[in-house]
Amino acid sequence: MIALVVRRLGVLVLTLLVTAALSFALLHAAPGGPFDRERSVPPEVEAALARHYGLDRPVLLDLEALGRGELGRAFADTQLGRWLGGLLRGELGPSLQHRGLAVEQLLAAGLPVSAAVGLLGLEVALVLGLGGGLLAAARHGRMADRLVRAAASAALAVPPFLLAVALALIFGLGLGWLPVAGWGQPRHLVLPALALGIPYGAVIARLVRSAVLEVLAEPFVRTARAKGLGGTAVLLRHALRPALVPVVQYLGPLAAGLVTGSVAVETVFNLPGVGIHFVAGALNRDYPLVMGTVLLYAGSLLVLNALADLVALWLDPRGRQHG
Amino acid sequence: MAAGRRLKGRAAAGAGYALAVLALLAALAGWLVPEPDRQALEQSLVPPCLAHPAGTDLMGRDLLARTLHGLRLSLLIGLLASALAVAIGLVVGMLAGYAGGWLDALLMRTVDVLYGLPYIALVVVLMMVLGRGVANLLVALAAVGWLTTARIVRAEVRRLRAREFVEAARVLGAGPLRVLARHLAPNLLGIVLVYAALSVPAAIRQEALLSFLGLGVEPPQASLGSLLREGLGALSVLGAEWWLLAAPAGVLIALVGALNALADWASARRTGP
Repeated sequence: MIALVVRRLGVLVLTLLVTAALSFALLHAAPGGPFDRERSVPPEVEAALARHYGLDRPVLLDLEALGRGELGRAFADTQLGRWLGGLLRGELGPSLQHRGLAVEQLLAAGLPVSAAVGLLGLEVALVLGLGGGLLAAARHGRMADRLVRAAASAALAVPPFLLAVALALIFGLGLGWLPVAGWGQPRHLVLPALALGIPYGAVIARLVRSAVLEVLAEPFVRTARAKGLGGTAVLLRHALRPALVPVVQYLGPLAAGLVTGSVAVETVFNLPGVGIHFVAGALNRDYPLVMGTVLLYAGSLLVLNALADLVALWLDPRGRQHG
Repeated sequence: MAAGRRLKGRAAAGAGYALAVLALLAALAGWLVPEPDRQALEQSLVPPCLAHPAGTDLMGRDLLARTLHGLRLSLLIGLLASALAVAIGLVVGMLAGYAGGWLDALLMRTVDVLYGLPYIALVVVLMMVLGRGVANLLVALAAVGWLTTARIVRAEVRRLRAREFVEAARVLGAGPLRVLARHLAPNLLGIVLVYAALSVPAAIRQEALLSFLGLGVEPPQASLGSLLREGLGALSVLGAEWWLLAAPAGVLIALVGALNALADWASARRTGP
């Protein structure tokens, strides 16, 4: 158990470090320097600017300082070292597209929006998935089962971004029930959360249905029925908990899907979240903004994956014995 | 259970026919509707009629022609990207599984690290660096899509490596490359082909998303995703021009739905009764 946790932590730290290093490499490889202007600047001004922002320091390693034995200066006081130090303090550098704003300011403004949409989408997915899956299993082979399965297949055939467009056009423009864009009131969240949650609800409904059907065929369920328990009691007290295991295992991919889906949904509904900055940044080649967003996404995904693992261990104690 | 499988079989047969029709339309697009980029500005935003069964867009281009050409491009990108990704995964998985040791550790930790990152974010970053275009789209999708194949193939190779026929081949003097190419690869074919088929709809969806976000194919080239992007952009405030979205959305849903149904059927057959 401890070995497992240590290994997972190792991969986690490695992932963040690799992402950070890749970001740094990309930012350096990107054409154009931060002080490129239309007008030419006197060389002494340019040198002063470079000194002020540390651009006169070596990129990876200060060989002279290493020769003098000053390890701190050789490794930490380089462009890479300063950038990593800034990361630890939560600094991601200035955005190229939004003059005068730092990337972390933009992301901090967008994060609550994205988190709200993501959590509501997760709720939609879990409610639809558990409800639909249990209903289908309880009415196995009957009308309700067929309806749930057909709905799940239909939902999976529509790419999430297209589902978002369809919801916006039908309920927003066509029926006029809900706003199609904007932010600030709870009703702005309804359509985005549905668009984000429905596809994953379909996946979960399928998982729950087949898992419950499998459990219902087990001897202990027959025992419970023989005791005289009714269908609902058997379903909720005996079949649900073991059937949750595949759902919990799916939480990791689900988290990744919600992050990805939020990019599409935020774009369609024009929500001021992180995803909008990500897409606009990529379209305008705002490297610091895009790499900052990737770091944020990677970090939150790692945290969500770790949480999903913990929930899985808590629900299914068999996993605890494996080292 | 048997009834359920028969039902899936029937759905799969229907999906197969639908897919065949779509593939045929895509293949014949260049002959049926040869000019997807021809503009006729006096015929801007014409609703569906006999001359333009799917209507025209803002620049008067025929949407049926654009949708069929978009279908062709989306299908092509989906197939090629999955084939490329599966090929990379096959090579990496075989290397890691057969070599073992530090090479295995290095390759599999790379896979672990990449697995921890949000897939679509990596593709978006690659598209930003490489620039838009079909070839870059293929590279970006394949560069991130090989991870699962690599894991599956590695596990399979490690299982097979301990079997007698591999040992026999080695005893007969076959080198590692010969064992991999002549003895292991044929045994991996089935599992790899099934996985490749399963990954095609995912690749098509990802292409559509990227093109919809404006990070995929370059205009005026049309893919199903870019058509939806253009259509949504040209839609007026009241959303009266429904035909801008109808044809590409319908074709995309039919395509993904048919591929999904076939994939469900294939995986149900694999797991058996």
